[in-house]
Amino acid sequence: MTGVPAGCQEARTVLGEHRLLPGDALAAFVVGSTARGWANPGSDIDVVVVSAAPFADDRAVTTRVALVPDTLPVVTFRRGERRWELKYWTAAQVDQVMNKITWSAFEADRRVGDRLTLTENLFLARLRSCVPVFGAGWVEQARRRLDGTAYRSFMVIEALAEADDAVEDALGQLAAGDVESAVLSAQAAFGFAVEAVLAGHGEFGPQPKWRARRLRAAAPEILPFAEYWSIQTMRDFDPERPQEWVRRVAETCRRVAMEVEV
Amino acid sequence: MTAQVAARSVPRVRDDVRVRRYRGRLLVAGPVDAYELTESAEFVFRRIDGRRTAGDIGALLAQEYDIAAAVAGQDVLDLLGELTVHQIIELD
Repeated sequence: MTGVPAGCQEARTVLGEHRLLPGDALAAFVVGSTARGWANPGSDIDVVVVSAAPFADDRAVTTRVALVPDTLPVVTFRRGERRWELKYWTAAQVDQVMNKITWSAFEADRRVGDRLTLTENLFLARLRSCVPVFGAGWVEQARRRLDGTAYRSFMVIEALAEADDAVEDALGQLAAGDVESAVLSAQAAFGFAVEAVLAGHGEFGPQPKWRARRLRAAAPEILPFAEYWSIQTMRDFDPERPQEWVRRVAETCRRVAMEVEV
Repeated sequence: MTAQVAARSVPRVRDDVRVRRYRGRLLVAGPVDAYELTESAEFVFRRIDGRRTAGDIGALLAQEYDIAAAVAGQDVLDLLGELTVHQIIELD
């Protein structure tokens, strides 16, 4: 497994040693920062296992999900300095999540916020960049299925709507003389606009901490990294004229909305 | 119904207008209605920046599509008039 990020190579061994790969497993894959090669010494190693039947093991704690079955077993442990977290999905649960984001669902109601829970969204967001350690064929098929859904469009629309709301807040606050709140709203708006750009490039993920990494990976023409970083770090912010910065950010958000294909 | 727009008018997009690109076309939504812009209407809309006059935008349109300045100028005034009535833009 040359070229595979550290942690991913270890995952198969760990699953075997701890007897954490069920007999009916269809796939196991490393997700998150480890899979992307962005992990640091303090990062968890997150693994998803998909099996035919629900995973049953005394070491697992369950979290509730809005699916059938309505539980997601999670096993956590430490190995050396690293914390490992394994989540166990069934193939039926994956099916149900995929069915929530079909094109017919998109045409009926384009708001993803009412459709996917954070857990479901995280699963989909991480599928594209995961590193399979078992069942690579199942993972490839799931990725192709995801590419055939309206997930990208759902995520773009969601991010643009959030950006619009935050821009409206910022400009309303400016008009009311509440400049500090306007600056905070403009920051929030820009974050959502960047998420729209990233989603448009198939870079999904609800965690802002990886936004710079994801933007570098996506390298979108409509928002070059230098421009992104300048706004993100408020390089051109003049404390004497904060209104100008807020208006510039609002213009950038609108430009993004004009360019990103829903 | 359209609003009267002069060549010296400076249009700006209203703060509450939302835009989306869907299947290659630009959609703009004001507080009342949403519109799908034609290619030339999008060209005009994208040049509304709160600084250019309607006349400036007309000149750009004439250049882009190689049409008579008077025709392009009138087309821009008509479009800006419609966008004003439908609360997509405001005029200074």
